[in-house]
Amino acid sequence: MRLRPPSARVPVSRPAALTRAAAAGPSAVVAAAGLAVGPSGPTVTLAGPAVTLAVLAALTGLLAAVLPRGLAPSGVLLLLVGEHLAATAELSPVARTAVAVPTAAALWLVHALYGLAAAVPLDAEVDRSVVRRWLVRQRGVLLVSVPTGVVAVLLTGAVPRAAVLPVVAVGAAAALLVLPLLLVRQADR
Amino acid sequence: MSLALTRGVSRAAGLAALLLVTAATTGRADLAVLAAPFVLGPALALTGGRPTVRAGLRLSAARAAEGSTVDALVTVVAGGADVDLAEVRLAARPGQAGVRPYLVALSAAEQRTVALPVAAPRWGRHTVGGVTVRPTGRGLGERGLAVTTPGAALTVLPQVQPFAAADHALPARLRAGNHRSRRPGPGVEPVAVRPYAAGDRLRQVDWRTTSRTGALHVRATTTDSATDVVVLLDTLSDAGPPGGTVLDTAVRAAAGIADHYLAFGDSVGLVQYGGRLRTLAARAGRGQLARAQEWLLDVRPPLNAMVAERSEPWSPTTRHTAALVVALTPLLDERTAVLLATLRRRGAMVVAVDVLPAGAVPPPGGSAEADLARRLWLLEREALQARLGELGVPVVPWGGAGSIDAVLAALVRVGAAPRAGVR
Repeated sequence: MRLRPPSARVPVSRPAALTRAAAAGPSAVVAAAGLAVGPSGPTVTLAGPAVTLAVLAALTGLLAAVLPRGLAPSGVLLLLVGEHLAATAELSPVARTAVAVPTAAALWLVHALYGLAAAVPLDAEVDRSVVRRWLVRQRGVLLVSVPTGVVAVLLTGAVPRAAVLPVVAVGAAAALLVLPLLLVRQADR
Repeated sequence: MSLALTRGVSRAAGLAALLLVTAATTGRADLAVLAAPFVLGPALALTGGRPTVRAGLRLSAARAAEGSTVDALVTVVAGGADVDLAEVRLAARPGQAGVRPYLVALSAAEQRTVALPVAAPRWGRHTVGGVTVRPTGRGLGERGLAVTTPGAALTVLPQVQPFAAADHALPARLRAGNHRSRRPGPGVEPVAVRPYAAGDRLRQVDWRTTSRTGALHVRATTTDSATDVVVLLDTLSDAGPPGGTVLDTAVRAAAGIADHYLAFGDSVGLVQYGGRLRTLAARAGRGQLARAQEWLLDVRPPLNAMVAERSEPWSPTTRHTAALVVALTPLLDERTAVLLATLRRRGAMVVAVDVLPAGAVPPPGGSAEADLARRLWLLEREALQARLGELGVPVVPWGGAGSIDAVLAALVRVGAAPRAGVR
């Protein structure tokens, strides 16, 4: 009897450990760098309590990378928010809003990366479609929500409209371009 | 319907609420910008609906050989909601290697087939799976109910251990085959040139000798014959490490022996002695190999010592006693030795092949009592083998290709000799 030879599989996946490391590792780096450098510049914050905070954030980020299903990711996000509040306390409302845009993106990416790391079992193989879809989702969320947030702030009158008009214009254009990606069925097979 | 939110969604919603409350109480409008993704993200996840999937499992092949690989083909169909992550996990069963789970993403109503390579386990009838699929919805926000499929049947045929005996003329029944024999008759092997006798065919005439001598001469040939081979599997006792037990060795060796002799046109039959008596009637042809492999799948040792004690006796027929009996036995039970001696007395050519694996013999170096017991046991075993040898049943260890070749050659010589005294 002739038996079927061992099948040859096309490698379409990557080890989950790599995906988890890729997802959780940068989160720790972003958390530490965000606190160490800060939006005000390294010369201002890289001294005294800021260094302690950076070390604390790096440790928390590392813990979150190892245990993304625990409370550590929430701790990292709270540390980042606290750092943003401290670093922008002396800035004008316009400058704060401008700084808040990249900070919001970094915060969301850290959160989403930890979410992905938590959802992936350590011993799994990950299909490309999972990573591709995740990237599309995060891109869509950021490109729609951040400009929307800026518009909302603008509408409340807390920030002078003329100061953030370029941001609003760019954000609105990006949102218009990205919105179809969220509504139309994904075709990423 | 209750929600099964992931921790990520709860975290995002909590942080959004915290940021918005802080923004409202402190007048820091920039916090609203920070909160925006954490509002939209969970909203997007929750509007996607609860993910549902259907799953099915089939194998790329229902039969496989030991050591080969088959693909477990898992078909996953998403329901009405996007599934951003579906974890496909094949259940591990005892004796089977675990398979890593596979993660895949599907749009609503999309169907994907995932191939998970499964190493064929030990020979026998197995069930692969089932498969559990756990879906997580849009934005990794909501978990759906896991679905589990039943397992799929997989038949693993024993690995054919290489076996190559030289072409010995076994004591043959008068049947055409591929073994050279000493019996004169129609064949292709010339043995002599003799004067013509009435009944000789014209095409047998040796014209060169005829022209030289002036008298008609013909070429004499021997017949090509076949024989019956009965492979006896002693399943009274089993021992050895998993995957390399007495039974594993015996079954793989039986498959190799059957493959070899069936290729020569011989008839091969199988007998399981120990516990429930099972036999496979001797037949020739390649179809018999498939039947033998199928039959070997159901070889089992007795469930317990009591069943082994009450094993059904085997009464060999005349056909068995006229055959070459290859007994695959660990020689751990005297009943087997008695049976082999009986077969030999009735005229069968019997070879006992020792299939006790090296790992089953306890190594020296234990306590003094254990070492003494081990030595006594080995001496008893040697004595049993010597007694069998005196009765005309050679015992050889199984070593794959050619390991019993010398014994078969000796048996042919014995078989060709007059049988006076052997009853």
